[in-house]
Amino acid sequence: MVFSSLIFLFGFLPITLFVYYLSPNLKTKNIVLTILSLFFYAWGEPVWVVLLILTSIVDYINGTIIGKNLGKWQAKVALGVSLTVNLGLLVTFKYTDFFISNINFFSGAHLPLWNVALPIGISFFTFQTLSYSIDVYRGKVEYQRKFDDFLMFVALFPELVAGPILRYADIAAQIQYREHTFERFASGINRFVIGLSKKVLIANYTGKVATSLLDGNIANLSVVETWFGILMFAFQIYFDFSGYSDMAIGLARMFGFEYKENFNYPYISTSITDFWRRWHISLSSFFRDYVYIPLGGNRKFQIRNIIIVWFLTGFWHGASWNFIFWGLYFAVILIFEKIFMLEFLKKVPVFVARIYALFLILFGWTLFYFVDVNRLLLFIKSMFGFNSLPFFTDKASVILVNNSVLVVIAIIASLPVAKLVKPFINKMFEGTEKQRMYAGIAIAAFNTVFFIGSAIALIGTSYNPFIYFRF
Amino acid sequence: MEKWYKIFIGLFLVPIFAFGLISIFIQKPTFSASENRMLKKAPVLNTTTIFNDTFMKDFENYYADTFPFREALMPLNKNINAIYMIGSKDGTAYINIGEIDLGQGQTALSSQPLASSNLSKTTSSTQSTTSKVVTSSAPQVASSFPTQSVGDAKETSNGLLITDNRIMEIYSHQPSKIDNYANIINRLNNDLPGVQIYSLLAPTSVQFYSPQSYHINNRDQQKSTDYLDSKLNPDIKKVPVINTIGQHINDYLYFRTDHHWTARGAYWAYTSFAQVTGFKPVPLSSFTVTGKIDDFIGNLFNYIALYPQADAIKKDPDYVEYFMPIVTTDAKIYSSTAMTNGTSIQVVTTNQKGQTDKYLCFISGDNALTVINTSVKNGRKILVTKESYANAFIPFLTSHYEQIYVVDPRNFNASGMPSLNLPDFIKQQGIGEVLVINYSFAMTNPTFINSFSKSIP
Repeated sequence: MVFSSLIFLFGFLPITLFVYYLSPNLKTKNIVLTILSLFFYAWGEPVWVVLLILTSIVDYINGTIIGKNLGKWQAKVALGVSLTVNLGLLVTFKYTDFFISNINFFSGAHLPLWNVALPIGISFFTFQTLSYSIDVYRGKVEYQRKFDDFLMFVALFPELVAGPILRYADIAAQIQYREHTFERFASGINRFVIGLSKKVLIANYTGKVATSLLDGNIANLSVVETWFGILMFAFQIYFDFSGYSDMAIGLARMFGFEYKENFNYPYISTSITDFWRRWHISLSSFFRDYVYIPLGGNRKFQIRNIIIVWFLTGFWHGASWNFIFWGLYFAVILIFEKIFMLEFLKKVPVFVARIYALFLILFGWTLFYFVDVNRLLLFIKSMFGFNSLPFFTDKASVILVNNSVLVVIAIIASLPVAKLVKPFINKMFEGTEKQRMYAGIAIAAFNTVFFIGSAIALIGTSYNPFIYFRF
Repeated sequence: MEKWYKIFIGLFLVPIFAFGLISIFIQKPTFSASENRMLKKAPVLNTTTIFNDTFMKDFENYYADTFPFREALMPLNKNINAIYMIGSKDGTAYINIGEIDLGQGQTALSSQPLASSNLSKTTSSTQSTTSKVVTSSAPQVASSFPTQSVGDAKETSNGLLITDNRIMEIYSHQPSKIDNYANIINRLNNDLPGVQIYSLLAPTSVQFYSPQSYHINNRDQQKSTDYLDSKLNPDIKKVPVINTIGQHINDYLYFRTDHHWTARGAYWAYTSFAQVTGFKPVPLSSFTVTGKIDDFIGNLFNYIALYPQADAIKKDPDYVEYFMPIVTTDAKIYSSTAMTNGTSIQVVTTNQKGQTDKYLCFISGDNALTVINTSVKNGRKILVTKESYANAFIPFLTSHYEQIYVVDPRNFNASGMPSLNLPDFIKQQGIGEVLVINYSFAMTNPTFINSFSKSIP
C-alpha cells in the first residue's frame, strides 16, 4: 500500500486517524499506532512482517545489553551481534543473488540463484535499528526499556518502507511525550498534500515520458531525446522520493511527531559536494556519522574515506554494478572538488556552477538508470551523438511540444518557491484579522485544490509504484 | 488562528471520511464506459491469496477501479492530462504508454456478451456493450519502472503517434530480433523438406499514414522486411506486400483505433500472396456478400482513452468491413492438435452484437487450431501459423484451398496449455504448403516469439 493510492487515502488513513484519536491516552495511542503500522507493513509483506518483528526483538535485547554494560566487553559483543544481524539480513536479502551471479560470471560456475524478492523497506529499517545500537553504545542515547516503544520506533508506518531513515535519538523523547495540536495536525496536512501532489501530479507524468524514451530502443534516440529522457527521469526520481519524504513528514505530524528534513532543493546545487548535502539527507548523514567520521573523516585518509562511503552509498541503492559505478562516479567528482574544484567554483558566476552541477547530476542519473551495462553504453553513445541519427528529429520536436507545460511545472517545483512564499503567508497569518483571513483562504484553497487534483489523477491510474520501494 | 487550523483539518478529513464511507456502502460498478473495459472484481480472501500477496494487490486494484463516482470523475482526470498533453501545431501528439502488449491472442468464444440490461444502459450512448475479452489489454496508462530483470516478457513501446484521429504505434527496426525470427522460420523449413514455406510480414498503418520521418531509416518496415527476407533460406518464398498495399492507401486499409489492418488491407496482401503462389486472385468485385459492422473502437484506443485526443477519436469510430467467402466453407476450432470436440464457427461472423472487439468477426479470433474445409476440391492443403493479423486474411484463402489449418502458437506449449510440435503436425496431416504470417511488431514481442519458437522444437 503506497501513500499515493486510493485505498490509503480513503481507507487506511481515515481508519487509522479515527482509532488513534479515539484512544484516550498516549500509551493507548502508541499501541494503536504500532499495531496499525504492523498491519500496514503486513499488507505489503504478509510473510516478512515476521522478520521485522524478529529484528526488533534482537535489537531490543542488544540495546538493553549495551545500555546496561556501557564501557564493558558485553556491550562490545552485543554491538557486534547487532551489526552482524542487521548487515547480515541486508546483505543476505539484497545482495546474495548479485554475488552468486558474479561468481557465476567470473568463474563460469552455474550456481542457482536464490530468487527471493527483497522485503519492502529492509534497507531502511535495518539502518534505523543499526543507528539505535550504535547510538546507545556511544552513550548518545539511553536504551529503551520498553519493547512496545522500541517496536513502535522501528515500525512507524510513515517512514517504514521508504524513509527518511529515522534515528532513535531523534524520536525517543517524542515516543514518551508529544503534543497533538491543531496547528501541528494542520501543518501535517499541508505537507502531506504537497508530497502527494509532487508524486501524483509531477513524478507520475514525468516518469511516463522517461520510461517511453529510456526503455525503448535506445539506439534509435537522437541526442535531444536522450537528454530529455534523462531530465525527465531526474524529475521523476526527485519528485517521487522527496514527495514520499514530504508525505512521511506530514503524516508523522498528524500523529504528533516531528521528523527531520530529507531534501533541500537538490537541483539548485552549486557543486556535487553541495548536492550531497541536499539529496536524501538522512542517508548521507547516516554514512557520514557511522562510516565517514569513524574512518577518520577529513582528517585522516580523506580520499580513501570518500571512496568507501560513496561505494557504499551506490551499493546501498541496488545490488548491481551500475549503482556501484554511480557511487564511485560521485566519489571521483567529490575528490576533484576537494582538491581544487570547489575553490574554482567559488570564483565563477553562480549560474555557471549550477550548470556544472546539474550536468554532472544528470549524467549520474544515466548511470543510475541503466541496470544493464550494455544498454548503458548504447545510451551514452546516443547521448553524445555517436549514432547515425540527427541531433534533432521530428519525434523529438513533438515530444518537446507535447511536454512543454510539464517541464515548466517541474522546473518551477524544483526551485525554492515555497521558501519565498511561506514566510510571506506566515506573516500574513499573524497579521490583522483581514490579513489572516486572506492567508487562511489561500492555504485552504491550496490544500483542497491539490488534494482533490491528486485524487482525481489517481483515479485514472491504478498503478504507480515508488522508485525507492526497491531499495 | 485555532479556528483556521480547524478549518484546514476539516477540509481534509471530511472528504477522506466521506468517500471512505461511501466506498463501503456504494454498489460496485463492473464496467467502465469511458475506458471501454471491465473493472476488477473483488478478490477471493483465503490464506493462499493472503500469503502470496495477491489478495492485497487485487483488492487495491479493485478498490481503485470501483472508487465512488469514478466514472463521473474520469472526464476531470482527462482535464488534468490535457494540461500536460498539449498537441503540436499540426495536431500531432506523441503518447508515452510504457509497456504495451498487443500480442495477446483474443478469441470470440471465451467471451460472454453482457446481456444484463442495466449494464447496457450505462454504456449505450457512445458504444455497445463489451465483453470480457477486453480485459486482457486493460488500458492502464501505466508507468513502468526499471526493474532488476533485463529482457523481461513485455516489450516497452516506442510510443504512440496520433494524427488525424489515427492512433499508430511507432515501429523500430531491430536486426537482432529479426535474426531470431528468421531462425525460427528456417528451422521450420529445414524440418519439412518437400513442403513449401511462405513468409509474409504484415506492415502496420504507421508505414503508410504517418509523417515521413516515422517510416524511414530505422522506422522503415520495408527495411525490416528486406532484412528478414535476406536471412530466410532461399527456398522459402517471400511475399512482398508493402508496395501493393501502398498503391491503395486512399482506401480504408487500416483501422484508426486498432492496430490491425482491415479486410480490405488484408485483401491486397492476399493478391501479393496469389502472385507468389501462382493462382489468380479473386477480384474484390466478385465478393457479392459484403457489409459493414459499425461502431468499432479498437485496442489502441484503450491506451489513449484518458488523453484529450480521445474525445475526437471516440466520436469518429471505425467500422469493420467484411467480404464473405464465395465458396462453401465448414470451419471448426479445436483446443489442441488431437482435434477432438471441435466447435463449429463461421469463417466470417456478421453478428457482432455485444462484442467490443469487432475484429473478432474473422475466424472467431485467435483460437488454438482452426480447420476450414471448403468446396474447392483441388486437394491443396495449407497450414497458416500466425497471430491476429492473419484473421482478416484467411477468409480470402478459402477460394484456393480444399483445407486450411490455422495455428496460433500462443495457445500452446505453456503451462496449462496443450503441446504442439508444428513440423510433426504438418507431416501427420500431409500438408504441402505453410504460410507464416505475422505483423512486424510480432518479431519484437518476446512473449510471441517465445511461443512461436517453442512450436518448432
